[in-house]
Amino acid sequence: MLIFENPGYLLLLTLLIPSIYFSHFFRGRGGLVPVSIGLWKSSTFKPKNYFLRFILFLSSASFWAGIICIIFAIAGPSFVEKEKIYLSRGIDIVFVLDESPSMAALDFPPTNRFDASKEVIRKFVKAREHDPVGLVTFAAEAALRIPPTLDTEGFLDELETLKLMELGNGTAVGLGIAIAALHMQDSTAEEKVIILITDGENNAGEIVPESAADIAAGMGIRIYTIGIGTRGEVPIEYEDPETGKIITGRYDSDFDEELLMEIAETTNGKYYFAPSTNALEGIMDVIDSLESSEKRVKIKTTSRSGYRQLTILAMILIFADFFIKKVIFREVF
Amino acid sequence: MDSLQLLSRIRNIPLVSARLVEGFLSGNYRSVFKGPGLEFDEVREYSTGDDVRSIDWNVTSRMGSPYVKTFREEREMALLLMIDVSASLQTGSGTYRKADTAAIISALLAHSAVHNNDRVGAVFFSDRIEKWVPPMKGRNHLMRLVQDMASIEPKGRGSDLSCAIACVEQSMKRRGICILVSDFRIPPAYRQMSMLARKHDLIAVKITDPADRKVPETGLMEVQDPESGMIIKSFGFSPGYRKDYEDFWLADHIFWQRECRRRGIDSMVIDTEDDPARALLSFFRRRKGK
Repeated sequence: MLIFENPGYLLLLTLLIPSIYFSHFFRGRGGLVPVSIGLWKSSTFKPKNYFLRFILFLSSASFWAGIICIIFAIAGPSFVEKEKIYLSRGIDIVFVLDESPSMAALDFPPTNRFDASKEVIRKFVKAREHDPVGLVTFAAEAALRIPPTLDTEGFLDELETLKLMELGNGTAVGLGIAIAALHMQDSTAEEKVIILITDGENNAGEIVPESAADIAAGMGIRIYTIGIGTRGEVPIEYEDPETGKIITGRYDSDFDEELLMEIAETTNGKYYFAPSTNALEGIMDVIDSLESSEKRVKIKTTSRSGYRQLTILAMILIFADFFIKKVIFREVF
Repeated sequence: MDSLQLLSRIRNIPLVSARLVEGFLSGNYRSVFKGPGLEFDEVREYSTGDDVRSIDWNVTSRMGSPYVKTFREEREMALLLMIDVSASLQTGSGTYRKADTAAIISALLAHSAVHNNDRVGAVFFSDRIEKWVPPMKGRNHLMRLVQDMASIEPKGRGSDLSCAIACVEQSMKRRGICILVSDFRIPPAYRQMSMLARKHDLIAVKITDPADRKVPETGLMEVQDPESGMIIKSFGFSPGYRKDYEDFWLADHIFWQRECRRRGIDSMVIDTEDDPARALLSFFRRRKGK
């Protein structure tokens, strides 16, 4: 980015028009030799030295360009690059996302619950560039997809590749929380948060959600639980990752609200119910505002000064004018 | 050259003008002048000794006693100097500007006229009439005129000859000698000049300067016309440019000479480098020989 250290000097540019006028167009200027070159209001001697005049025009243009360069040089041009450096460590956030087949329910337009969740996570992460964010998904099993990282780009890329049912058919809420907690235990962050998005009951995994919540609570992790989906019968459509078949049908949606509430309570978090896309977005905003940490940011600026080049250029331009007029054409005044 | 120096120079003029008178206003030049000679003055009652031939019989019979016509001899003649004071005369490459030369010449002629007991007047013109001095006799008048010549500060920059000629035509009822002192950097007014030449004796004196004919061999200059304010780039080292300039003014000069000759206007050219007195003397000597 180009900035001027003393932009006030650029006001000198406004003097340019009067000075050009007074030195080239004003008829009362000095340095003119009075010679009668015409009959008054009648025929006048008109020299045909067009080439000379063209050269002189270029010469004068070069001179004024040089003056402009000097003015810019006085104004102190510098090319500044700014870089944000976060001095404080942010909050560790790990999303625990359900990828069981029920997440394919089509009650979150325009697509299903899973895509809607991915979308809100993406928005959330983009807005938090100084908080390390991780991702754990679970179905029958649970896996750490992304450890808490500040690499937002990498996170988003990875998020895109997520597919339903890669970890089997089931809902191992407890396992998901446990894995998330496990990867946060070495974190030095002052605050650690798990955001759990699920739509089902815990029906798989070796660890029951309650004990997982206890572990998390013991490590000082807050868990925000989001129950996603409408209650009742909803259409469902998904692709079986093993057979590649598209399975459609209807599904009686329900989830264990009490469990989610309990997890939230034990870990000092909060439970939210998200029956629609808008609600889900709203919830994420709420969490975002709850989990804001004070950012201490240092802006590192590196600047390169450009006056040296400008001054040299100005010297060349002005000297060119001087050379043409005084040396080549031997100007008298 | 300031007006003080000019004045001191003009002070020396009477010496020269005495010689100039011989050539200029007396003798041969006079005889060219075809005035009535005698001018009717008045009628008065006859007194003893009057020439009987001058008795006006008409008046005598009307009044019942003899009356005579008296005549006044028109000896003196009016010399009118038309002096161009436009800005183009304020230039000059040497010691004298064209305006200085014009002033010296005018002063010489005025002195000669007064020396010969003639009336002398002047009209100073630029693009307007700057000053009008009616023709009168006497040394005081002459001194005033010379003072004006040396110190006039024109208000206009251009030069309009036809306006000056109109002024002269209106104010000079009787035949006289008109001397037009100018550098002729003026819009052509040859028609008006020949009209004036028909009524009066017109002598055109053209003041020239070397810089008017030639570009000095110098480097780049910005040259401004003092009258129009037009600015051109002048590069004296360029032979093409010098030639263009010389040709332009040579053509103009030749045209001027031809027009003057064609219209019966006496013309003389004085350069700022010439001695004005000498130039005038030789001019009138040449005229005498005609």
